[in-house]
Amino acid sequence: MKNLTGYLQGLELFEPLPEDMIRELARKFTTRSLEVGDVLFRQGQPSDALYIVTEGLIRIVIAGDEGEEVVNETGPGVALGQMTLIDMEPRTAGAVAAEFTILLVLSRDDFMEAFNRLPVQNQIQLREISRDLRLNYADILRQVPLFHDLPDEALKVLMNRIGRKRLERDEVLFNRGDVGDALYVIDKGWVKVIMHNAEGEELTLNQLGPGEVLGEMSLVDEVPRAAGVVALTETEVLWLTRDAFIEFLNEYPAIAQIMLRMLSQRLRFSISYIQQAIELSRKVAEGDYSFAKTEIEKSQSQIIGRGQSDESRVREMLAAFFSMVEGVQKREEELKAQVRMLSIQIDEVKRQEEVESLTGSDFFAELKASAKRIREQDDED
Amino acid sequence: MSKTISIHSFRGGTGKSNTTANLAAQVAMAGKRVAIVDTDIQSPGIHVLFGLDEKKMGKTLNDFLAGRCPIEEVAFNIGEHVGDAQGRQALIGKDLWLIPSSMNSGEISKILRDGYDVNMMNKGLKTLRKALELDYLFIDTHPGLNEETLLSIVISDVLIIILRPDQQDFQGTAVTVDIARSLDVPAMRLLVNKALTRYDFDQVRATVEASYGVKVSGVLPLNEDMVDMGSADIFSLRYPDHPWSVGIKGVAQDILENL
Repeated sequence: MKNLTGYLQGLELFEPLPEDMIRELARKFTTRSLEVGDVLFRQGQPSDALYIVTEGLIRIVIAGDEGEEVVNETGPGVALGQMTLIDMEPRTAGAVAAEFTILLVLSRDDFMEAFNRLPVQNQIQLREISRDLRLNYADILRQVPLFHDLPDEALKVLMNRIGRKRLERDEVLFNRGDVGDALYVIDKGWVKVIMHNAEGEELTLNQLGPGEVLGEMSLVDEVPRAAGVVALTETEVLWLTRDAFIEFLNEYPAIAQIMLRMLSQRLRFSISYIQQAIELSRKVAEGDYSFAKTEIEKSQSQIIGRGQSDESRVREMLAAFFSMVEGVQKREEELKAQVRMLSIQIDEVKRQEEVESLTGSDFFAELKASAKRIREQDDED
Repeated sequence: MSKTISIHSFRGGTGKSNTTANLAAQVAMAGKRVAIVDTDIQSPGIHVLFGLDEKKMGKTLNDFLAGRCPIEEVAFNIGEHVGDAQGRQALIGKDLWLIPSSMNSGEISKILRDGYDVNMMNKGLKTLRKALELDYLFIDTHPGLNEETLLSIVISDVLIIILRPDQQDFQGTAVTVDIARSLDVPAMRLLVNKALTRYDFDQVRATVEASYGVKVSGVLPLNEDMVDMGSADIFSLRYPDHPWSVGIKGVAQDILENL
C-alpha cells in the first residue's frame, strides 16, 4: 500500500484524527501473511485489531447449521474490524484466508493509545462514529419490511446471526429441489423466481426486488425449494439460517405476522398467475394465438416495476408460455402446409402381390384371352 | 360409334354412383344419347338419384339376366320421367336412359348365389347400344375387383377410376390400374373426389398423374352440400355453379372431346 496515510484518511474511523496522528498510526501497522485456510479471527471473538487486505482474498464466514457459511469475500483495499475496534464488541463474523493473503494489521492497543491522547471531545466523536457504523448496518436491516418493527436489541441479535451474500447478474441463489435451509431478504437488486417446463424452458414465476423475502416457504414446511432463484441484476441478499430464523421467530412473534402478510400477497399473485394462464390456455384451445406475438415482444428478463398491477406483471412473466403458444401455432401451420402438399405412398410389394393374385386365376386368364375377341366383335358391329 | 365407359372405384364411399349419374346427365345435356347400366347388382343405388323406386322401376337388369325379358324393356327413359326434383327438370326431352338393378332382396341374393352369364351381359349391352343408338354407355360397377367388374373393364372403351386422396385408395387404385393395363383397356382416366379444399388441387392432379401414369380428368372437392341435399336430385343440374359441379362438367368435357 503506497499511501497508507491517504487510505486511512478515507476511513470513517480515522476521519476525526489529526493528520500527524494518522501518519504516526500508519507507521504502527505491521504486515501479516496467511496461507489458504488460515483463520484471521473467529466470529464472537472480541475485536483486537484492524486489518487492511493488501493482497489475496479473505472469506467472511458465519456459523451455520453445517459448519461455517461464507457470507462475503473481500479483496485488496478492504478494511476489516472498524465497527468493533473501539468498543471491543465481539466479531459479527469470522474471517478465513481463501488465498495466500497479505494484510496490514493495526493492534487495538496501538489504536487506543493514540485514541486516549485525543481531546475528550474527539474521543466522543469517534465513539459516535463507531456506533453509527454499527447502527448503519442496523438501519439497512430495518429497511427490510420483515425486520422493520424490531426493537434495537433484537436488531443487535440479528446482526450477529445474519449473513450477506453478493450475486452477480445471472448467478443462481438456489435451485428448485435444493434443501431449504435459509431465508433470504433482498437488500439491493432484483431476482427472478423460475421453474423449468418439461422441455427445459425457463418459466419466470415472479420477480422480486429490494426488501422482499425469499425462500420463506421452505423455512416453514421444510420441503425442498419449489422454485429456483436467479439474479436479474447485481444483487445483495441478507440471509439467515433456518434454525436462527425459527429461534428468532420464537423471540419476536411479531415477525410471524409480517411473514403471514407476505405469504398472503404471494398467494394472491399466484392466483392471478393461474387465472391468466387458464384464460390464455382457453384462447389457445379455441385456436386464438393472436396474443402471443404481441406479448412475446416484451422481454422476459426486463425488470418489471412493482408499481404495476399483478395482472400486468403476470402477463409479462408468462413469456415462456407465449413462446410455447407461438410454437404450437407454427407447428399447426407447418402441419397444414404438409397436408396441402399431397404425397402418395404405394406399397409396391403389396401392389404386385395383389395384382398377381388377381391375374393368376383361371377366370382372369380366360377373360384376358377373350378380351381381344370381345373388343373386335364390338368393333364389327 | 358408341363408347362404353366403366366407372369404378377400388373401395366404396368414393361417390361413384353420384359421379356416374352427374357425368351421364352432363353428357346427355350436351345432346348425346346416353344410358347408364347399374351393374352394382349387390347394392344398387343410382336409381334413387333419378327419382326411381321399386314401384316405378318396372323391369330390371335382373329380369334380363334371368332371361325373363329383352334388355330394351328394362331401359327406363329418364328424359320422359324426370319426376319433380328441381335439377332433373333440365333433363326433360334429353336422351338418357337408366338400366336399373333390382332392389328386391330375393333377386339380389339369387344373382349373388348363382352369378350370371357374363356373355349374356355383354350381348345385352351390345343390343342396348344398337337399339337406343347410344353415343355413350356408362356402367356403374360394384366397388372392388370381382369378376363382374373385370368383365366390365374388358368390354369398356374407357375406364374411369374414382379415388379419394387417401392412402388406402392410393394403394387399391394402383392395383386397379395394373389390372386394367393387363386387360388392355383402350383408355383410362382417374377422377379424384372428396378432396379437402385446403389441398392445392393442381398439385394433387400433378402428383396423382405422376404416380400412376394416368391422366386425371378432374379433382373434385369434398361436397358437404351434396350430403346436405341427400340423394334426391342430380347435384350438378341443381347447383350448376358449385365448384363440384364445375369439376364434373370438366370431366364431361374431357369425355366429349377426347374419348
